[in-house]
Amino acid sequence: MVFLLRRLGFYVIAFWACITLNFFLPRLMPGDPVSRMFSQVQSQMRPDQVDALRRLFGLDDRPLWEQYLAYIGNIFRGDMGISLSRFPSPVSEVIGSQIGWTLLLGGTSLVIAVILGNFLGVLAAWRRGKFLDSVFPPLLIFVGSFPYFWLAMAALYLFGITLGWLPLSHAFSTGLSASFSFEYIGDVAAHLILPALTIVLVSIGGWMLGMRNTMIATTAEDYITMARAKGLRPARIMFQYAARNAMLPSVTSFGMSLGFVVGGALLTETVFAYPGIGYQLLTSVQALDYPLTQGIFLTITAAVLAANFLVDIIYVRLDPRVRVS
Amino acid sequence: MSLTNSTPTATTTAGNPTVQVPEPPVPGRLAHGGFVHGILTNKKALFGLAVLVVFALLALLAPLLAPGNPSDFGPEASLAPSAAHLLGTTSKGQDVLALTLWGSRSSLTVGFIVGIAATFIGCLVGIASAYFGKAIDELLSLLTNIFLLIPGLPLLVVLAAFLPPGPATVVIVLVITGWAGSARVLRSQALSLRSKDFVAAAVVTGEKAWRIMFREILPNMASIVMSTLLGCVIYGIGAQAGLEFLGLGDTGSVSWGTNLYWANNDGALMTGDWWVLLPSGVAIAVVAFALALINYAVDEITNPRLRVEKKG
Amino acid sequence: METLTEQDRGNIGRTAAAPVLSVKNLQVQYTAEIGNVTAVDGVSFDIGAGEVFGLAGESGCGKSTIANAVMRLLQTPAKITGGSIELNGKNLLDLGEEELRRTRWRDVAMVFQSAMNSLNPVMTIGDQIVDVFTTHERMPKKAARERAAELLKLVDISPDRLKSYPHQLSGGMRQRAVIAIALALKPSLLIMDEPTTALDVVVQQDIMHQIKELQQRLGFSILFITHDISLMVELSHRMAVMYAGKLVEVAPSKDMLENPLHPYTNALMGAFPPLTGPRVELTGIPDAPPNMAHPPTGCRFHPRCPLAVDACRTVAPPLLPKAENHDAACLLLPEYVVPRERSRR
Repeated sequence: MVFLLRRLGFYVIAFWACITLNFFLPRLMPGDPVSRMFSQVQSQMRPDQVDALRRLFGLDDRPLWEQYLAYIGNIFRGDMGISLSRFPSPVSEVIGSQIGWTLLLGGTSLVIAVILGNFLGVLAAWRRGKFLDSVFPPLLIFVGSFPYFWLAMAALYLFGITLGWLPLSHAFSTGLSASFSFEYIGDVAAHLILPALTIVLVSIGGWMLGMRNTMIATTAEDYITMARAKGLRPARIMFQYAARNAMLPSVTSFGMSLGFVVGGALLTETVFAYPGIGYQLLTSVQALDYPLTQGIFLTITAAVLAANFLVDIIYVRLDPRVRVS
Repeated sequence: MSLTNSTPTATTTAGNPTVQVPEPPVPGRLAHGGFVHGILTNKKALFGLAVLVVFALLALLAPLLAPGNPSDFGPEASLAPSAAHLLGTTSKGQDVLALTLWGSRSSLTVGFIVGIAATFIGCLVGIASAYFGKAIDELLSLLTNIFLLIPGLPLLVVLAAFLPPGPATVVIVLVITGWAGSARVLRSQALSLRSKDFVAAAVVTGEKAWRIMFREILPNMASIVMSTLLGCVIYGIGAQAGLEFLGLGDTGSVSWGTNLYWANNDGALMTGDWWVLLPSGVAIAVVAFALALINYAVDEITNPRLRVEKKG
Repeated sequence: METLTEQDRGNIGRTAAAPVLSVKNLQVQYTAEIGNVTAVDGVSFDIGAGEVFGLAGESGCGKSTIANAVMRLLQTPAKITGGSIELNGKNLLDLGEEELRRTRWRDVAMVFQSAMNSLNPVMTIGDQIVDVFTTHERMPKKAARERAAELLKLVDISPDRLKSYPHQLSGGMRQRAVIAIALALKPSLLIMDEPTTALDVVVQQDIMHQIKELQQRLGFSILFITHDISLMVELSHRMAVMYAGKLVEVAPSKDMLENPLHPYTNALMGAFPPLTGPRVELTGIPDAPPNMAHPPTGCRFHPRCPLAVDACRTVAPPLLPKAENHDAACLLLPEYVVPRERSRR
């Protein structure tokens, strides 16, 4: 419990740091990016909306600390301002309408990469120097060396354009409306394959290698020798004794890697024009829609922090040693 | 070991900062000669080094190999690879080979600058954290962990969106997002060195803090600094490409990332000009792979357990 | 601690009955970049039913390698390159993976050096005992749990500790739990590789006493490995002294203590106060043990031996009877002639 509370405290501080960064970034930047934005959008807004926007970016005359407190207050009420590029929708509404796609893409590819990668890592470590161990790691490191977006383009070119097997972009075909029909779900799945495949391909090598190396370190432990001496079956030793322990650092790095997956999803979404918040983040930057940019950044950070907390809870379940201390 | 906690006086007599301290048995560390020897006899490391040298040479010789400004538009647009244009041309008539060669200059420079700067900050924070401990450690660790947890690319995008565009911005933004990982690794290594006798001895002899940190602790973690540096360079090259591909970098420059940005912008995919996309992407991958191989070799040399045992 | 009668010491392990463990001419090599290192070189010994056999020597002399060889736990780069290891008449080196797996723990179990590290940190003690029953006896979980509780009682641990994780137990309790796991299937041979080194002296005494009592009650044989000679003399009926991969002396423990023959054993014993004194590790001999990559020629002890003569540099002495029930490997000792009416194995 103490462990979880400490972690929670840490996440709160981290999130506060992000809010603070968000608050000061537009206020302290040279070249006044905010006026650039205003000149672009002022004409289409009502005076009270312009006022609200001014307050959001510190162009009013209140003292800084007052602005700061008001800003934090707004964030916790879910008020992140109004999107300019999607005027007059509030930022939270824009994010809400798109975050599902990112969760779908990021979640699917993460789960596949983690499970498959760790499993391959266990097998490679268990059969040191055999085929799986000698061929896969270098191959996957090589594949993982390609930038996300480049692999995405290559996949798009190969399977989408040249072979025409899979759709080129977006999350579902135009003209189709959301429903629980076989047609719609199948369509969404077909649109998901290429972007997800890209993320899996790039990230799986890291998982495999990480797991392989901790497994190798773990198999040198005395309790593995004792398990072998006990005459247990190899599969049981491999999973219940070796992998069960080796997965602990893997779980920790899982939390850390969420940020990378989000980044990967962002790039991949961009290539496939996949309507998640990663793609939206880029569009918002290009449109100088700062409220949306900041809102998305905060949302992504909050999601990553929350996911990390979840991982901590799982970790406590997996490692009896942290339960007491 | 002849020097133990019980006899620190043996070294204090001279008051000389260059105390003769026997090399402590640091886990995972080899004698310097052993490390160089290990690198030079490791196939992975040699291959990686060779690739790096080739790319560095190509980058240096770009003005000779492909004279003129590679971004200048030419009359022959969207040509497939041929004898005249070995890698073909873009839809604006630029020679892809020239773009790739010139691009390597920016990509490698930025990659290495970012790598070195991020590793440097990582060293500073990590070692200071381990050396001073207590409140300073708490604070620096907190900072490190926050930066580790904040998703890098979105932060990159936000920072790049607000900072004035230009090559300096790219480097600064990449360093800000890239140092934390190395700080964490280096801290834990420095922490284990901090408890060694030779550091305790140095403290007792009254050596200055920075001197202990950089003359006593740092040299003993050379291999891990090396592997962190390689990791940071890989990050630098990849993240620069990502940033520029998104159009948030310095779109006026020629780098592998901007090459891909323009290729994508000009619809190279849709028109089927695959040769425009291929070289820069492969170049990034090959360089990153070479660095990863060296990194892997460093790991193998310092951690013999990872080495694949010979059969029979 | 109970002492054995004179007769016990002489007779156990020398009975006509077939030995539980019979190691013959065992050779183990480590493959290294600098060349092969022979860690165990032509070692032979028998352990009789109900006998406690000690194996003593400096660290690195190959005694743990022998323990792991008997369990067939050696992994690359270590490899058994010669000899045989017969357990209850069955050569362990002939067994295939599956047969070996069935034999382990059922016929021969092992208590490892450090109990903290030999227990799986993420499994409860109970599950780690139940493991053994469900694997080897196809016992239902519930019955296995009951047996596990009995086992814990056997080593004086309360059965509600079944649900504890290793880190929740004290060092002594963990080692007792490991002993309980080792005795789960009533093996005929228990190997103990420095079972108490990580524990403090009081706990150590406690545990050795318990082992002794269990051994007498259940009648299993023990191969007991330690560098603590006084502990060994206390516990074992017979013992062997090992030096640089070879046995240099084998004798009943009492004989060995009172009348050591080999100069190395002499040096060891000389460096030791007797039973009652404080325990000291084997460090009292000048110079370091030999580099096993390039062992000395002839008798391996000759560079450190105060009595060495020229022949010691060239002739490797075989292990031969030098007194009644007392073998040693030294050229300087006259061979013992066995009286006719007694026959040795």
